[in-house]
Amino acid sequence: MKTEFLKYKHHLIFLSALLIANFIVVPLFELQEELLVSNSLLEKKQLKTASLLDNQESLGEINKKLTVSLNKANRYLFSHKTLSEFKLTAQSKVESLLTESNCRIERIGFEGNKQLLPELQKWYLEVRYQGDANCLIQATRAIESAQPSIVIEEYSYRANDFDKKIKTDLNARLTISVLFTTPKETL
Amino acid sequence: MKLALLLKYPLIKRSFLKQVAYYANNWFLFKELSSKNTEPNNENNKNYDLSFVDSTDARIVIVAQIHYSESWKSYASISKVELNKIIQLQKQTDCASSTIFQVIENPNIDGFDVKQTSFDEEIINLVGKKRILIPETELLANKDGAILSLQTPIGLLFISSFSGKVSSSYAKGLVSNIDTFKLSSGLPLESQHLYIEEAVFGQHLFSQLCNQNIKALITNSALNIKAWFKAKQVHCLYWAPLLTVLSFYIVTNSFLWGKSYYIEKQLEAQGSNVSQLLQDKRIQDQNNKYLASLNFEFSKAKRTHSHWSIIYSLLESDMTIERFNYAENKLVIRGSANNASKILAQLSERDDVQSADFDGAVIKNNEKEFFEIDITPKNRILEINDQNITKTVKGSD
Repeated sequence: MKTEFLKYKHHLIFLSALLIANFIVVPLFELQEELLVSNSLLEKKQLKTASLLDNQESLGEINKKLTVSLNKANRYLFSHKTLSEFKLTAQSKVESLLTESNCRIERIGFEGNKQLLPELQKWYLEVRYQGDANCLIQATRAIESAQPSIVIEEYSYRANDFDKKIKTDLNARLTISVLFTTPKETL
Repeated sequence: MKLALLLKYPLIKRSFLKQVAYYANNWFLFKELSSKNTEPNNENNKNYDLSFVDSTDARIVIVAQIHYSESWKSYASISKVELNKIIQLQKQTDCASSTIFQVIENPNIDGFDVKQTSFDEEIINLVGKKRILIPETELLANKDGAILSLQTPIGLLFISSFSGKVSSSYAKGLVSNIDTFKLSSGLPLESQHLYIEEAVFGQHLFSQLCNQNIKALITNSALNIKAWFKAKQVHCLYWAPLLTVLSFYIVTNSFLWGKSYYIEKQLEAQGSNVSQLLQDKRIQDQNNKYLASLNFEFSKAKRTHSHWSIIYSLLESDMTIERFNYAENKLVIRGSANNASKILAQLSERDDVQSADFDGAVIKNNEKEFFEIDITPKNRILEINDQNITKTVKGSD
């Protein structure tokens, strides 16, 4: 047995080197790659944590201000839990503004939306109505000063011989936009 | 492939000449001599002479016949595999650097003839085990049927080669001349022989060496490759880098592991406070993004109520309006007036109008001018009373 072992000792030495390379050195190399990545992440986390702990007080103040700002901002938005609730409210709001301005509403309809953030959407409405100059002016003022905020994106007014006598009725078509949000998590 | 093919290259040839020596009781080196009256670069005209030296480190040594003995042994009715086993066994008992075994097939006995060339112990002690030893008779008698009489530095040498078997003897004792050698070798007296003088012996020996097939040369040489290397050194060639790399990874990985363990412990110590802070920070970042988005939307929103002021001034100037549209910050008014140019001039002078221009031709009909005007108004941004929304967003970054 010993003679056989000695006969192949050089082969065995080489084989053991290959085994060490394959089963120890290579896994150690891969482990190092993983350790480098995890260390980098931990260091970032540590830096962020240290920064947060250092600025804990100022963070609290900022959070308070942020809460106030969010509350103020929400006044300009239609904040509802469901889309149907929002649509009903927004449409009613526009209707009431136009009715209060003595305009005759022909049609109000939603024309699609744009997703600004996961919890924030911009909705477009097309509004058609009729009325004299006073109706149109009052409606514009009422819409632009409304809360929640309503923005006139486009308009088109038509009339037959609208002159300084301003007795003619006008046909109005507005494209307006409103911001819809779901109630947000605050600090 | 013959050795001469490699020696065509001067660099190889120069190196080769330094590594080849001849030993016949003394050391000799091959010295290159260029023939006079011929081109120095012509290889065929170059002569080689043996020059005496005290000692040399040449790796290849051509050994004179006096320093080795040759013996023949026949192995009848044996396979090549069995013969190789016998030779291997003999090689293990004899020193590989001092013995050459040449196997020649012999169909007459259904077996093989084996020639064993054994170098003297003295020469082995002198040259060491790391050099390649070539018996001179193997070089000189490389042509079958040749009978040679050579004047070597240590005496007259007779060589014959028939059917792959080489026999040789110095001119001494009973074999004092070529005729006696022929008879002793079983050759007819009338056989032609070639005589080589001592002056051209070096040239003849070198040319025979160059004309040797490299494969045959290796077979007919005594070389012990194992003696060239120390097994430990060869193993060290790969073990040393392997162990260095292994140590490096062990040390660096230990350091990295220790570092990550230390950071994790630190983070654990900070505990739930940090988790809450991180959660708060995440919500804060989301809210900031939300407010930034809102601010952007508010900044884009324009007030259109001021457009009525423009419309009122146009009506005051006796313009009759058919239609006015607004989209993408452009107000288009279509109508008629007595003097279209006056209307345009009046619009251009207004503070709330950035630019105004006719769109298309002005058409005159029954004292009235019909036209369309494109106006870019200076729109006011929709007033958001809580201006500190923006300030707070910036302040919290």
